[in-house]
Amino acid sequence: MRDLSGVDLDRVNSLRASLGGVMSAAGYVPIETPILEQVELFVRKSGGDISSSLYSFTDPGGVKISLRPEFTSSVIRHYVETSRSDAVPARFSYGGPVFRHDYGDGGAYRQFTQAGAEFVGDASPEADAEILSLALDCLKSAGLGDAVFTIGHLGLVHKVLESFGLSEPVKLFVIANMGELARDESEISDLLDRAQANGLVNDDNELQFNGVENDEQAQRMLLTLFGDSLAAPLGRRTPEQIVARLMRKARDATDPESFTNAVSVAVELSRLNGPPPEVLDAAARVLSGSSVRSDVLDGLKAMVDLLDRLGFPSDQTRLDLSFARGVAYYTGMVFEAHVMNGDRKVAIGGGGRYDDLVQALGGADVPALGFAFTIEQILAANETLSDDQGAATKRSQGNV
Amino acid sequence: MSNPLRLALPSSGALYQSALDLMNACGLAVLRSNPRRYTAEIRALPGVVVTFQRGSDITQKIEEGSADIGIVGEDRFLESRRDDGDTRVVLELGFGRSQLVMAVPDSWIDVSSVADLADLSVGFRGRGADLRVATKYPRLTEHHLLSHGVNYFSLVQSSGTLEVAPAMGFADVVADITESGTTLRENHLKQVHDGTIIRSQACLVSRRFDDDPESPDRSQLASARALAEMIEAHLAAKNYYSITANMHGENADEVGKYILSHSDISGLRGPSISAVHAHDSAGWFAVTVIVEQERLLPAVEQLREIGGTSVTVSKPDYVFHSKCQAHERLV
Repeated sequence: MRDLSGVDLDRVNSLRASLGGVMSAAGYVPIETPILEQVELFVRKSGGDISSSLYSFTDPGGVKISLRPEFTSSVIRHYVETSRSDAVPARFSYGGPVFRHDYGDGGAYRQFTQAGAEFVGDASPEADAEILSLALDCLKSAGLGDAVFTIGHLGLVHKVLESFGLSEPVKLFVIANMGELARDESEISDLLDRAQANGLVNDDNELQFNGVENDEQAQRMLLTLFGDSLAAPLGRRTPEQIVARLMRKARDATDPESFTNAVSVAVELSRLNGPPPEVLDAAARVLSGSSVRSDVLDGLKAMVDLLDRLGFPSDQTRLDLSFARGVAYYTGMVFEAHVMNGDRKVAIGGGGRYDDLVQALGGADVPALGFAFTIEQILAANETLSDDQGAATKRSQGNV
Repeated sequence: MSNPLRLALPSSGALYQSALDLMNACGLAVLRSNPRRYTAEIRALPGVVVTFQRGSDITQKIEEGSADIGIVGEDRFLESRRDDGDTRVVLELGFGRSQLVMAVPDSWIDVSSVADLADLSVGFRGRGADLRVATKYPRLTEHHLLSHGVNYFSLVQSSGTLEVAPAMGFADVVADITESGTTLRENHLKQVHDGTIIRSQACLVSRRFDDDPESPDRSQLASARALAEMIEAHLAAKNYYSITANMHGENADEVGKYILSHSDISGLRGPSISAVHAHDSAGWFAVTVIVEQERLLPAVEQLREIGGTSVTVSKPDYVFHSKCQAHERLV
């Protein structure tokens, strides 16, 4: 962390104000949330991505507290606490400091400034296009109208994997490893081995309950079979709970063939990367040769058409179907914006759609999406902060 | 008088004897006048004062400035170091190897990986409980679990025997040190996939010294360098054999050229060759080469093929390379 003063402080403040102005003019209501929140809020959201960098402590009252690592969770908490379930759509904008501990890298600043927006209650491609356009407008006002947007779509990948019968845990596992496969850093067979080691793929159908009439009967059978090994220490779990979970795991596990087929198609898709219309055409060709229904592309295609009509610059847009950020969290469109500073790629922020978050934080089943930029990164991209400060924030703008 | 270098060695436990053995093997025998004394000296390095400390305290002693350098398990070091601090690993010492691993009750037949623990912890949460993890390494364990998606857990810190925690009911799973896994198995625990938190070995760790010749650190740095260099050269020597054979030839040059044309016996740089003053005939030379451990037999074979006789092999005590690698990590 560091002090900001003089010109640097003025720049951070005026950039925050100018981004805030763009967002409120677009109908996004400014909101301030506390810097301290209960740890639980962030842990529920992130599915592990952010929790390992939380600044957490127990307050004098014995409550586990974290400094906020991002705003989205707080904004959605606010929405859940204050809005009636039909209060959609709702649009919020925010800005302020966030805190992330960075293991093993003393070089990155652990406090930085985010500004961003959340859009609750609209699952349509129009909402995706609105958020992308707003993000671009913000960057234009910051003098970075030439930023390049890398856009991915986790919803599409989910649907493709789903059509091969992959369960939720298996899908998340595949998506998390997709980048590696697309870059040829590992082979599908390696991934299969790892999935088998994790119990996500069941190679010999060891737990097919043929002839077993119902779960109760299967459970009785397993309890008899494993009776002896279930007598040992159980760590507060009953034999019934252990067997029930074993059965669920067996049901969720996929067979090696479906796994390999699904991953092959997903990898072919993930190698596509370029101008949106070309990538969409190529994706349609890949899917037509597979058993996946080609209408899985419809949502993405609608969004690309809308962006085109809204005048979103196509030469600054790359569709990259291997692009995945925060896989346990994003459910649809995801994007990241960057600029080139000489040879150096400066990522300045991004966002996407997280349709499960409102429900995960105790609200109704309401879709949501948003984005956040890191102010220090925008200034670094503009070379208005000293080199040292720009470089130091480069690791600090991961998931928003 | 200049300040001595304060070397902290483990006072007990698995690393105590091995650390003393290493020092001894490096020609740096530690003289402890009686086993109840917590200080000792090294005759070969008069500028060094040895103190015996608990392994878990050594890193902190160096960071707070009451020791300069020490031998400690890498796991202990990473558990207690400040990540904005200057204390660093100078040398890995090749003994005291162990792993910090996650282990769950054998009876959890549905659990084979840390991903299972993540899923399970959500289930515990649903019943209003946290997955309780017993460990002596809370920091490394917490980071490992969080970065593998296990969010709902509580750490039970225990300094006693961890393996019995699940049986005694004060924890559900453990993160514990193991060498072979036997103790875990005997206590009905099993390791899980992705559950290795760290592979560790004993290390020489040190504070950073100022290498400005005017600095008060100067004498301590000299002692630290001598210590690290002796250990480094001793560890490096483990990889080599010195082979000497008698060979017949016209002159030393010819023998040298001949030897250099055989890859297995060309040595680290090349052979050293000296004349043998044999009483029966002239033209005998003693050839000495240093070869890597795994090349020993092929080298002996090649020496025989080209007429080498009376091959003797010895183990060097030290191999000093052109530069002391450890020095760069001291400053």
